[in-house]
Amino acid sequence: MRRSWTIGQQLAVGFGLPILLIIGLGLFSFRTSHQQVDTARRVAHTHEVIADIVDVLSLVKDAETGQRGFIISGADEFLTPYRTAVDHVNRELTELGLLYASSPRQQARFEVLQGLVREQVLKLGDPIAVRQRDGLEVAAKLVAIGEGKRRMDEIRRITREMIDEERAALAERATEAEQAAAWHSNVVGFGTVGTIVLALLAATVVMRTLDRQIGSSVQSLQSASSELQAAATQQARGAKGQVSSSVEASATMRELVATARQIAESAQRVTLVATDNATAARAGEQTVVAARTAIETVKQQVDRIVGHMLELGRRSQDIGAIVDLINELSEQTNILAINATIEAAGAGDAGRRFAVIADEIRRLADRVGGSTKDIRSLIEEVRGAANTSVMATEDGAKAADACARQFVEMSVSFSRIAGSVESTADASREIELSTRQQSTAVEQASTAIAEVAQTARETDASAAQMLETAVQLTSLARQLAALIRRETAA
Amino acid sequence: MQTGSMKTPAERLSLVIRAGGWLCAIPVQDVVETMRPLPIEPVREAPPFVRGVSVIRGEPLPVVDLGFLLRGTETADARRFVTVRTGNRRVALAVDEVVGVSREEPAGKSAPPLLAEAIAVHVERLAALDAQAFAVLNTARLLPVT
Repeated sequence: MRRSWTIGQQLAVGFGLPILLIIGLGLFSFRTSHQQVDTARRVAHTHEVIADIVDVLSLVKDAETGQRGFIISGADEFLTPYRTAVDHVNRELTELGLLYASSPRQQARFEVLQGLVREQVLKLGDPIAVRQRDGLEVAAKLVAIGEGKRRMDEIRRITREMIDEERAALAERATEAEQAAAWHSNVVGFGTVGTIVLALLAATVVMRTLDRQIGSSVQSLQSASSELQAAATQQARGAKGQVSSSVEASATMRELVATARQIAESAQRVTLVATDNATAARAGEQTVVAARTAIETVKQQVDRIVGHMLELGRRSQDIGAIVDLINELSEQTNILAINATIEAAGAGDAGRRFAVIADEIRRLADRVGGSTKDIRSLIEEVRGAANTSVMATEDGAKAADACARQFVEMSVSFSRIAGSVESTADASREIELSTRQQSTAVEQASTAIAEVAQTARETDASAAQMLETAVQLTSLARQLAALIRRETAA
Repeated sequence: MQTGSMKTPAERLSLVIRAGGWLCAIPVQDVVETMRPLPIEPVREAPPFVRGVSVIRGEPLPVVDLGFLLRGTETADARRFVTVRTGNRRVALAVDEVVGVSREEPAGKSAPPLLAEAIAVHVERLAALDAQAFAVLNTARLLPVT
């Protein structure tokens, strides 16, 4: 918890507690001073009361002294104190009454004293009048009665009680003042010592805490400054390498620009060649279309030949059927001739000439049969030749079909070739355009790399400056560590 | 085959046929006629050399397989019928081919002792013609006497 306190908080706590104690001591001193002033004021009031009482008693004594001097001497100058006392006694009594306004017990005594003093002053006038009117003797007798002396004794007793009480109060206030002064001295003394001890303790704690925290921070600062110095060194080295790399990259980009221009020129030539090839491919496609038309004509002719040959085969079959019929007739004739020979043999001599005719007929039939066999073989040969021709022509037709299909495929291939060549031309145009764009981009990149090289030089300068700053920071951290912890610095 | 001589007696004429690889000669006076094969109706329990019955000139005649009589195996493709007289009856012979009418008396001898019993009784003589066995048939023996 304490580790999370900031330096300001620690300083506030370290200085706050002594300041609070000082404030408390100040308040206590203020209160004590106020009490002492009040005590002094009350002591002064008491002295003033005592002085007024003494003044009242003195006036009464002056009045009595003047009365007695006048009675004894009869001279008026002795009445001056009496008259002065008569003139001032009421004022003194009024002042004394005001001073006793806050004390009920003294107020009661003052009431009695006031009555006695007024009566005494009033009664002192009777002997003076008797002396003036009746002479010394009468006046002396009147005084000798002793009423004035009794009132005077009472007045003295009351004034003594009042003065004694005031003095007792004065002694009590002096005791209170001494106790308050002693308490004030103790509190201020011990408070001052405690405040000093607390301030020293807080300062020690704060100093130790600050020493530990700032020490660790200084160590961190030292390590960070060392790392910063290493990083700055590495950055400076990297900046130098970046400068050299940027220079090499700039040269490479210039070569790349030249190569891109050569590629663009080559792509332009490829475009021209591809355009020529596309034209040639279109011409070849037209030639193939014409050849395909010719092949289709040949195929139609071959189909017609096939039709004629098939017709020839069918005709041969018709001839064969006729030959079969002839063969059938010859066979039947042969049978009839044999039967006629048999019948002629049965007829004896009469049938011999018929038998000869029948035999001739049979021979003719045999010859017809032989001829029909030859015709059949010939027909078979013709049919075979026709079939062979049909097969050959069909093969020719198939070959023509295949050739036509191949021409179609060739035409398609030429179309594809033309399309491919056009695509190649388009692609080469795009390559040319792209290469030109690329060369422009490479020029821009070259400019950017030059700017990067400039930036790298500036970075190099900054890295050197930062390295110097890091060295200074390291030195500063060591000085700070020496300030914080002298034994570590030593 | 030599045919035709006006001096040859009529009784010497013979019809030359081929059946089952054999060349056979049948006296013309026994021959009624030659013809193309006609439909044959098989007959149950007939002898193995009898193919059946065929109606020829309005008369049902037994059809005898001459090749079976000579070789013991059935003639596969009979291309001619030869109607012959056997006594007072007529029989149709199924043969492969009618070669012609021979005006010469066929030579030959009787069957040698080893073949006398093996060859059917229908063969009257045996001879050789063009390096082939030549049989002179006796139509009177073609059918058993009943």
